[in-house]
Amino acid sequence: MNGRVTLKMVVLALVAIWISACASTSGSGSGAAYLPPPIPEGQGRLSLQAAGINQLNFYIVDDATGEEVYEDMPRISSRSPSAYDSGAEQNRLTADLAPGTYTVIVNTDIDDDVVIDDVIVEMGQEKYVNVRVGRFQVHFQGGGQFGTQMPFLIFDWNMSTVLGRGMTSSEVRRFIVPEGRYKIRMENSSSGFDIIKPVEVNYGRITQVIISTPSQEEPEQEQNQQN
Amino acid sequence: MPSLPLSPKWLPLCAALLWGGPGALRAADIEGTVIDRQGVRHTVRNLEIRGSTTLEYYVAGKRRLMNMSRIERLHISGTAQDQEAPITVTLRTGRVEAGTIIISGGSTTQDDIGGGGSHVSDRLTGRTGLGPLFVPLSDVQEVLFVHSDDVPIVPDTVNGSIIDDRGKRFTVSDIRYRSDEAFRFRQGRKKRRVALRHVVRLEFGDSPGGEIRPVTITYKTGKVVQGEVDASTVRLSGEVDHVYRSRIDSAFTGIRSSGGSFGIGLNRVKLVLVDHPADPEAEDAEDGQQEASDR
Repeated sequence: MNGRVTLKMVVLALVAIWISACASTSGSGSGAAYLPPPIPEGQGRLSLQAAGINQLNFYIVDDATGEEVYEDMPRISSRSPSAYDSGAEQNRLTADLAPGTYTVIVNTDIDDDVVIDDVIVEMGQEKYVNVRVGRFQVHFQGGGQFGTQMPFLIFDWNMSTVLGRGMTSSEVRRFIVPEGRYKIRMENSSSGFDIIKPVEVNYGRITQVIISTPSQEEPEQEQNQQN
Repeated sequence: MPSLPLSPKWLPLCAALLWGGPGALRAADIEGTVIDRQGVRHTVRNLEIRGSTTLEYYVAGKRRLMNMSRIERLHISGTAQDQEAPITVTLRTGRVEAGTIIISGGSTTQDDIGGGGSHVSDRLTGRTGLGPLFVPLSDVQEVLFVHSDDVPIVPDTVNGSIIDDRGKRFTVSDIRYRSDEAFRFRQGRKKRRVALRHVVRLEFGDSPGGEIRPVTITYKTGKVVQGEVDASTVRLSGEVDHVYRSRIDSAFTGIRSSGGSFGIGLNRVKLVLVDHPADPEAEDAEDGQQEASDR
């Protein structure tokens, strides 16, 4: 009797193992899309870490030959009125490269690039590199007079050089710049609207810049006075 | 079983990486002695200012970004309360630049930066023998950098000739492109940059509207690359006079042989020829080859 029970238990255990094995096999097959793919044979992996940013315009130059070996340019120009950020962006900051020493150049939304020298990729290893960029977002409340799309200039802190240009949007639009201090200027000659705002951008944070036209600010002031 | 990637063809590369890797890592680390305003000295490794190895300062109102691997020493004068402190940067080539550095620029009112805004931490960080070091930049008086001999000294001036669209030639030293040592251009949507010291020749073509000009870049190695630059003279909304004039008239700047300053816009320049001093080692090699062929 005991022998039969033991045999049944053994058979049940074998069936359970077989089922779980099948499940795990199928699971790994269907779930492969959710895992990072294995590093190709004879190569290493370079992953950029930009603190929450999934896509950057960047290219990689082999230090030994000076040749460009990889590039990815998914981001649209900061001046484009149709550009917007999506919450469903796939992370594209990984590149599989032959072992060697590389320079990574990250294009930002201004003239200044972030250049990372002497990045060593080893065979079969994953190398993580921090890209010191941050983001800022301009919320423009112009009402019916200006709409939601207004061009602006990005200056250095001294306002001596125009570093880049941008366009506000009704969609979510974040501008990627190297960590640092900037000033943005928005001007509309016909209406006399002119505003300069300082922007401080840190690694891994999104600086919010709120710009309102005087006509948008007045009702709030009136309400405050009434209260 | 997949074969191991350690085939003999990879061995030289592995050896090169083992030999060159630590050197490259050394090159990335910045070391130096930091002296604060009380006179206390700290020997610091992994030195960074504002989380970066690139120092940002202003010379004659123009923004300058300098990698610390090129700096011999820097001296910040003024007081700890100064928001724009005078700074003297001595490069490894011996060149001295005097300007200002913005410190505690984050002392803006809450109205200026909306909720969720961030502030740049103005501090010098690194590691000492006793542990991590954090010094507010306003307390730093001097930094004496220590560089390994493996880190090459990058020449800080580029000399050459600039020829305008009328064929007039100017001999210019310390050529810069928009206050930068690198020339920036576009290839379609791609933004590219190349240090002027790696370039022999920049030839600007004509375009129908004159807004976007094609450029042919010849590298020192002989490689030729095509690109384009924005030569528009349209004034942007928000551009003040001096910014507009510098953008239009001073894309390439430098110092003329007579000593005066030089500037030319992208709409006027035709050719930039960069001089490269003869490499003594290459000359020796050429002489050796010539002697061998003579024999």
